[in-house]
Amino acid sequence: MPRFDKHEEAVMRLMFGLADSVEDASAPEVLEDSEKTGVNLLDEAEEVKGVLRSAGRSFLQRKLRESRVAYETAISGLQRESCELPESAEERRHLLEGVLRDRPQFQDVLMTAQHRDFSELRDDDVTSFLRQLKSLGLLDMPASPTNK
Amino acid sequence: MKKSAGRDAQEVCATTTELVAAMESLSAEELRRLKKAAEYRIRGLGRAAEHRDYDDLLGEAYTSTLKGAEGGAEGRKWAKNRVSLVRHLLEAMRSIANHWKVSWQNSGAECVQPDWLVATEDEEGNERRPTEWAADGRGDTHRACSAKQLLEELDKHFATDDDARLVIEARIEGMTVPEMITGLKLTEKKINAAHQRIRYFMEVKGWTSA
Repeated sequence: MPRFDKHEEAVMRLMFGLADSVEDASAPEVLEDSEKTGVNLLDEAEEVKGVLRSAGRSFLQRKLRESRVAYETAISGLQRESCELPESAEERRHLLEGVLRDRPQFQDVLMTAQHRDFSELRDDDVTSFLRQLKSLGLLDMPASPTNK
Repeated sequence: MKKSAGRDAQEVCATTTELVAAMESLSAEELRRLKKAAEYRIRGLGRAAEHRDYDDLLGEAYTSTLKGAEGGAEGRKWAKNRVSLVRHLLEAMRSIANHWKVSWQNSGAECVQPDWLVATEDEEGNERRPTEWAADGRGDTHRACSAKQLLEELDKHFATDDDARLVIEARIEGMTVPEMITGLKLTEKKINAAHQRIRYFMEVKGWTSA
């Protein structure tokens, strides 16, 4: 286990104490410090603000990367599930017909005004409906709710 | 505005927009205070800083507050009505530095971990390994001046400055300013002035940064 030696311990407490002293110093003291050491306060302010902005940018980029990974995972999950659907368009249409016959309550959810006539549905729409039902875990549900 | 789910249900936590706006309006004096506090904490961490710099500490305090502003359970919540953003970030840096120290002490294998295990990501998501730091211009604050050498230099420089020597010893013992006032019979004004002289010496020597 790594350990500080006694000098390192002493320096750590001293430096943390100096950090405390900076935190509690009055505003004129802080400004006096920079004046004495000849620091250009405006340049330093820009540098520190740059550090904060850069940290903010990194945070945002990390979030975007995470969102992209989550999106790609969801898409590949949907594609995997679609592979488990029947192979032919006719079989998929029969499956959806059966689902809607057994569970008419889904009809209102899935069928929009433009798709009122089941026979006019394209295979893309049928597949999409089936995918949605599958991803919601509704495709394998019992036809009627069970009483506990 | 969001209410914190933490210790005080009435505490109002800043949103991301409020946090960014507050950061953008920090004054030069406040930004300097943040930088110097971060530098002293990194210098104090020594080897436990593990090649991190003041900007890593300050950046971590800020990003964890951005995370907290999203409203979930993660990150640090800035209770904007209770403390200023500067005070919040200073407290966050104190806590993070202590956490890094404890993590380093508990890591158990500072030198034997494979570098892929301790690799970090930069802004663009590129992996950076410790073996690459060696060729990096950013030095190790610990190498810049050993702890023993630093203490000896301070002793020598402040040999005739009783107040500064007392304050250095008191800080090494972990005493706070109120404890120094009571225990050492020093006035607050003298303690602050001694702190300033020590900080000036540290800065002139270039010992507050890598």
